[in-house]
Amino acid sequence: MSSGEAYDGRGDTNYRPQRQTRAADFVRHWLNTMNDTTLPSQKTIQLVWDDDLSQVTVTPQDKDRFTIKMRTAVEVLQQSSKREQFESQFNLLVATLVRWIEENQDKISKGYITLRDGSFAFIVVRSECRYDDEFEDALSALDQTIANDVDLDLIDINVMALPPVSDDAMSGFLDPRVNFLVSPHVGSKGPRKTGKSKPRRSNVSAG
Amino acid sequence: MYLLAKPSQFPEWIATVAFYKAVQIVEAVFRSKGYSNCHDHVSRLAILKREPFRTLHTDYRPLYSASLIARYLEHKCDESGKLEAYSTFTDYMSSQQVIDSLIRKRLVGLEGIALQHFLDEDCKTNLKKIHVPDLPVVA
Repeated sequence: MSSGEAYDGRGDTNYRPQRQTRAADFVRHWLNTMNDTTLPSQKTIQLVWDDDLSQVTVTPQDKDRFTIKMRTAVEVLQQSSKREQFESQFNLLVATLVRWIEENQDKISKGYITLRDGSFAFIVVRSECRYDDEFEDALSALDQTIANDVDLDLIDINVMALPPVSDDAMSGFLDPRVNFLVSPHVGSKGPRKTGKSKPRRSNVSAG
Repeated sequence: MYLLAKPSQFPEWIATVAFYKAVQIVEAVFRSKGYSNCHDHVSRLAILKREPFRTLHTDYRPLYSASLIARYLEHKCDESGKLEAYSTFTDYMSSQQVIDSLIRKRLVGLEGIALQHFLDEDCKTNLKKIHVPDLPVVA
């Protein structure tokens, strides 16, 4: 970097450094970058269910954030006294949701687990905008199945489907403290996207 | 009734009022079965998902969901300024769908199931009084 370049724009492909960049330009650019960037507190952690390991996995760089968000969920949902059991049930919950997403994948764009009104919420973003009665029935059936599963007795979760919206609009439905993006399997039993190598995962046992 | 006279003008409000009518009916069912009234949505949903109320939940939950979308889902452009698929509530649900799916199917369906739960004849009579027999067809 030459001495005339006050800022090298490292990590920002949109920024093109010019010689003799003024401090004001740098500050303006930095503020714009801040406005466009999701704040760390709102960062969504991607959870992947691994059939081979029978557990939830996250990427290594998200491991600590996952732990923090899980601890927050345990506290908010007042499950500190049964923490280990609660985390095992969360693991089972993710497996259940992933299977359901796969069964309905032609109608789903994304699925989030977040907190809403003092319980977990599973928020499905549809691939189509139009309301779909059959899909709503399937979602209600999932909700009832989870609620009546004796192995998920510590998990209180409500479900809802949203039409496709921007991340900004979506943020109104996600608790910034706890929000996980649920993704299908990477293991051998479930379908996997072709043409991509299996991503390196950090094994984060929820149990 | 006022809103139903102009279904294409206020579909969000029709969805919202339909949901709150469902809340009142469900609470009446709870009372008739000896349950306490619920003071929040989460505890009401928790009871509805389990027997003997699961059939009520199947119709109730889409009403709740649609009312949340009607009230709280804001349209915002994504970062590139491109319009998203959802811009207004009617992109999600047309006025006719509000009448057909939310009211005729879900709310009227829920009323029918509630009637089966009520043991008290007064409750049945009151529910029949608030039933809307003639739903409009959107022009």
